[in-house]
Amino acid sequence: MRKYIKINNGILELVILRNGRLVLGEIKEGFATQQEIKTILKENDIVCGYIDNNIKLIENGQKAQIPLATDYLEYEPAEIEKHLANKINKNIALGILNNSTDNIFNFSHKIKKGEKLLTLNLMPELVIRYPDGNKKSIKKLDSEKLKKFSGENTIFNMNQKSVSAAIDGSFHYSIYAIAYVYPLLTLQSINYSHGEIKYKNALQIESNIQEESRVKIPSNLIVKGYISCAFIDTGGSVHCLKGIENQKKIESSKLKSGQNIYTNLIKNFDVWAGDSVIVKDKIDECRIECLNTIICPEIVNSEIRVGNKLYTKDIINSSRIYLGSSYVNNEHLNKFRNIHKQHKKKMNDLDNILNEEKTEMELIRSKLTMQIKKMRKTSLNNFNSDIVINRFFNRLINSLQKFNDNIKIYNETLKLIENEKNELIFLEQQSKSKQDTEIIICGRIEPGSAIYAPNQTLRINKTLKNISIKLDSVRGTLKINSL
Amino acid sequence: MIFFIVERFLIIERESLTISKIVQLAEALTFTPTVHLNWNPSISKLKKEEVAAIFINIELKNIRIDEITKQFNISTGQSSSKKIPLFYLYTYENSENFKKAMQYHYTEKLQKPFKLENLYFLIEKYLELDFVRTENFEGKNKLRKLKDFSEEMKIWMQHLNQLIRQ
Repeated sequence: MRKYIKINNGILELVILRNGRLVLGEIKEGFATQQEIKTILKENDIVCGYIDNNIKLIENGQKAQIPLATDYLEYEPAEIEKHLANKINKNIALGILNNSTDNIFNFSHKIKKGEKLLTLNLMPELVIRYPDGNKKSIKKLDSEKLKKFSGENTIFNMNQKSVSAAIDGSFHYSIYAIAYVYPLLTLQSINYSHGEIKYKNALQIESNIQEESRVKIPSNLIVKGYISCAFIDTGGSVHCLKGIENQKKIESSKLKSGQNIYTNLIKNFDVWAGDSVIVKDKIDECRIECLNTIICPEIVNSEIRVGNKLYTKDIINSSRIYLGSSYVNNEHLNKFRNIHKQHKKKMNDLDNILNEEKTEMELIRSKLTMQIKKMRKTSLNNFNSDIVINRFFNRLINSLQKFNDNIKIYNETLKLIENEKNELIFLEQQSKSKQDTEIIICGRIEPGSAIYAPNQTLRINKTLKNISIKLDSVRGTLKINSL
Repeated sequence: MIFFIVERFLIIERESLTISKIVQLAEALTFTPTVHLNWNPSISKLKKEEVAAIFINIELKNIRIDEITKQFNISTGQSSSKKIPLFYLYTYENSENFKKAMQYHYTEKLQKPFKLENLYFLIEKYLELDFVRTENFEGKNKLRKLKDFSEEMKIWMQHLNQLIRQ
């Protein structure tokens, strides 16, 4: 199949071969950057398997035909169903904005022993991924690997392919869909005199978390009063019934929740959430990063970085909204990517070392051969030659031993990199949202505010009312529609 | 379906544009390209099992087509797993070298300059292309070569040890 596509100032010819498994490209006229070529390919349903080096060559001016994309082998992660997750959709979000849905704030994380937390609907498999995104299944992967969905205090049932609670307690899911249950501990209040709270529990605080407190727990935190000027890091959700405030503007005050944050008000706080931030009243002078959804009626003078959806009534007083997952920092994923990069570097170094050792051994071998030839020519048992041969031979034995040891390390690193790559695909897939990325404003957005997308910045000059702003994921631009 | 292949495209060519075209296509199809800028005696020492196809510029000086046809079982008809396709690369049809090369067995001839898609159609005709690129393809290939070298060295040293003892 042949396609001619208009680019900035010319034409790109695409030839699709091997039933869509190989895509060749040639710039007939004009010029295109790597990003432009990828955008064009995406718009023409060639969404993966790009050969980056070749695309770079086109940017550098290569005019001849060149392979741009091809099929490849990929690990497809399992598809799972979370039974007890607090599902948020557009109706619920609008209900929260209009104060008609309240039960989401009363969501209890309690679970009884034996209750099912999640089920695996589709097993992970090895697939061939075609450039158009379609796949062909090759084989189902080992079900033993599915145990990773079972976190602390949960049981994995191999036959039912499900995870259930092993104790009574408080449950939560991580952003990578791993289920955890922790026993619930109730405390009256927390202040700085308690030091850093590091229990392996879910916590329920009957009154407030006071100034300069530090809480680091792997599960949920339920606070019946206020959280003020504290450092909070939780693996699960944070429910704060009254509000989260940093009146003294202490820099170390930070709220990091692995899942959702439910509260009335957030003021002057630095917040990171792995899933959603749901606020009943307003977000005021905050910096909020959220991987999935933010719901809040009023956003005042804040910096909001949202991965998927923002539902709001009013955006006022020079707020800055960054739309798209590229703006939200995912610390765990970044750390994992860096480790993976380090291991790849280690393998390159090992490769160089092995090549050097190989060259050295070849050199010794050639010297030895020469020495033996010399000995044969003279046909004498020369004492000096014996010493030289023995010396070379011993050197060769040592070098070979070292070489074999390094081969072992190379093999282990190669396996490690393969496993990491699979894990990385799983983590990326789980943290990626399948829905459209957009902002829904049911009220107004005032002049002075700005919305940032990867390839466009929208500065608001006049008040806009009842609009939705969608992110075009291919071009990285914004589209405004009225509601 | 085969996931991991170690076969190579043997390319004997001097012109960089032609080399880069064949190399790019070989890599996209998961073959390992091996390029010789001129005739090299080591070519005739290559194992038959490792070579998937041979591309040879018949206009190069001192090229030994006779040795290649002697060493490899050259395919002259449709695709066959036991035979290796030999593709002639040339610019002028009336040259002396061209006439000389025509005397030997060959699979197809391809006039330069050619389009990559034409090269693909030619390869597709004579090779089974049911391969898929794996992530660590290069790493695994390197590991296999290193292990081979280690094994070869071990055997050589055993022989040498016997010789020294004698």
